[in-house]
Amino acid sequence: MLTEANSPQPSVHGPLGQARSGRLSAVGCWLSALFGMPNYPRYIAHQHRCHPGAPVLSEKEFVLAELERKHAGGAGRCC
Amino acid sequence: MPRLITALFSLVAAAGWGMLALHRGETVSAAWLVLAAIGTYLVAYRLYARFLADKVFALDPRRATPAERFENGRDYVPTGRFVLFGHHFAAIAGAGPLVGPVLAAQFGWLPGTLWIIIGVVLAGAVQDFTILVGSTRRDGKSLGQIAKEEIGPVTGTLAMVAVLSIMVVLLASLALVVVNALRDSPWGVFTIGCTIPIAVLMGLWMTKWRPGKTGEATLIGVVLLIAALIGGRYIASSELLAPYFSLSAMTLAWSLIAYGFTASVLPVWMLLAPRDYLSTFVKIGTVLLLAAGILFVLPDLKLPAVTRFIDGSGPIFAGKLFPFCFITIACGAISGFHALVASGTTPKMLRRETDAPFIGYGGMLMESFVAVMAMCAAAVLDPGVYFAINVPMGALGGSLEAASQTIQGWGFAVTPDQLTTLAASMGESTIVGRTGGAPSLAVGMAQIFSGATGAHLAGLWYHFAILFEALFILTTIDAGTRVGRFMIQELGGRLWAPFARTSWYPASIIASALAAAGWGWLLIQTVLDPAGGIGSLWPLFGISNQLLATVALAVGTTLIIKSGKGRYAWVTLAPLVWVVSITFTAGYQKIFAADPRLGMLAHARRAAEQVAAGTLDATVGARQIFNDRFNSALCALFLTVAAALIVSAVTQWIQIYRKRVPVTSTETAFVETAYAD
Repeated sequence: MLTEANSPQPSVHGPLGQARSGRLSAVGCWLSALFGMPNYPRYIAHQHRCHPGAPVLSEKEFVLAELERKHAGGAGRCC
Repeated sequence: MPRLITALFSLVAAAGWGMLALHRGETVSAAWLVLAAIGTYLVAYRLYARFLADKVFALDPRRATPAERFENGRDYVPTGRFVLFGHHFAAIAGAGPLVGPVLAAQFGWLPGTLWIIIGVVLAGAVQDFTILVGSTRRDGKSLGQIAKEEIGPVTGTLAMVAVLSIMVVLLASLALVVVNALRDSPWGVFTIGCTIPIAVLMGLWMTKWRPGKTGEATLIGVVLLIAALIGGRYIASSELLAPYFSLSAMTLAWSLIAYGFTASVLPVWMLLAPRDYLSTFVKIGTVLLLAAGILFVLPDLKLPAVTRFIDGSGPIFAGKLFPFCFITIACGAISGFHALVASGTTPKMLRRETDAPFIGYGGMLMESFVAVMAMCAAAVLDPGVYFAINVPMGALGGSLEAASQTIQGWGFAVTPDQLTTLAASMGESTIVGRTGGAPSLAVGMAQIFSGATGAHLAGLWYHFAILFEALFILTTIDAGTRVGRFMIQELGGRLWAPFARTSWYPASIIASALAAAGWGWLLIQTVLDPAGGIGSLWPLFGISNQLLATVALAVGTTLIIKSGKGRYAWVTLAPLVWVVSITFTAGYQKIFAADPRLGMLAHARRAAEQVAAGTLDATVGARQIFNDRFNSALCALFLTVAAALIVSAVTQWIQIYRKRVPVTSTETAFVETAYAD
């Protein structure tokens, strides 16, 4: 767990490493959303906006928790 | 202007259907089939999906969706409609729409194609769309929760047991497809085997070495996958290495069971999640590639439009056109499993209600299109080759010469030389009797693609097709075993609470072992049984999947009636009546038909007589008898549970109709969206 003081800022790279702005970044965002990949910047942005001051997960913790949640129940994949 | 576009699409559809109708008795280009399908989809989307959206569901762009109201940056995330379309499609599509049409091609390409196109427009896409809207208006609740709240809690546990047993049949059928495709195929085994270390590497990359870089890991995985595909050719042609990768059906079956168990116990980042990304990438890529291939090469359909096997004498699976064509197509026209996705991740990501027709109805049209392409890939084969691949070796006579004689007896010419040459060009020792649908789809695809790239690449294309089918199926097997494990833990937790703790290793190991043993046992029995095969397991899967669709349609009808739109209830009621009639007829025939090729109890009786007469080995006979009775019981269980759910739904409709029960909407109250557009 990180505290508010040392938590990362929202403008970090996305899952496809889209640190640069522009078209490449847009394609990266699009693809990672299509694949349903864990999106850390989006999570951080959400925490900052809706739960300011609350502790946030580190990127590694977040990714592990997301992968676990995505595959925990229900029918993720069909026939 | 919109009317002009609709008229244009209607013309496209009419041109396609017209050309198909005029070309009776001669070969016809696959282009017309593709055109008929696309034209029909576009007209249906513009007219029928619009009608459902406006009149039946009254979708409202001002109404906030669960994704907006519960946005949490994780599962509730408002998502653009094109991204969500891809996401939803990747979740609903798998091996089902590819395998089903290939098997149903035994009736010729026409009956299956008609059902794939008409069925999706009036039934499958309606089901997915209805459940998506129903779930979105109920905070993204699952089909199970909705059924429990709308129809009654009595059937809650029963429904869960039914879904679990349907899953067992599904996983066993799909695993059998992989076993048949990879048996004695060093190239295939090497390539598929490589996906396991590749997945582990990807998992380490995205969680340990470069946390969060799932995209990077997927790119690396895809590159390694292509390397494994190309490398497989050298393994297969190496006299030293090939024997190590040439596995028997039994070894493969046990390996799959071990794999399913391991993937269910291990943390998901290690195996399951990375393979899922790899599979999604390959899935979307392959669908686009197949469409491009068919449109670029425009091959001729060589299979007859209708074969004589519509009378029920088909060698691939038993049963007449009605109901077994509809059962065999399975996922391409309507699939109950989609209702689980449409009430799972997708409703939590829908940005606006008015995106639902595109995602729910449109996504299913896309799946149907995949099924049409699979049908094309089967129908471009010479009929003789198609039957040589898909009929079990036992029924073909045991040798190449006997096989070609048998097939000529059915009226399709094929020579032993032709089959040997074809197998060699695919990089395999033999393709005869490679049942299960995947190999013949792969040969068809290889023929289509090598029409564009040259014949020397046929082997590579064949193994590419096998690779992606096996990849889809293994993704279903590992995810399915894990879902089964969670269900068993939940059910077990009702008897002894600690068993439900998912992080407790003993419970998760026992539940995973039970889940893997369930489908694994069915798989092993089918592999051991000389009379068994995809022809006995796939219809059972088709029946169970469509029974789930009847439950989804019954729930959908209830939702429409309760929203006060009872006069439009026919949109789900009509497909419900049709799907009930095909599933219950098929289920009844599978259990009770007097023909031992079709009826499982009659088959058991014949085995008992053969054992008594000394013409059948007693051990083999006992196994056949047990399998037949067990599968009959399973089938009867599915029918009973579905019937119970439908009867309780119908009772409720009648009470509402007679005004004994007031019509009360169970939708979440309207909240206005904060989005500007």
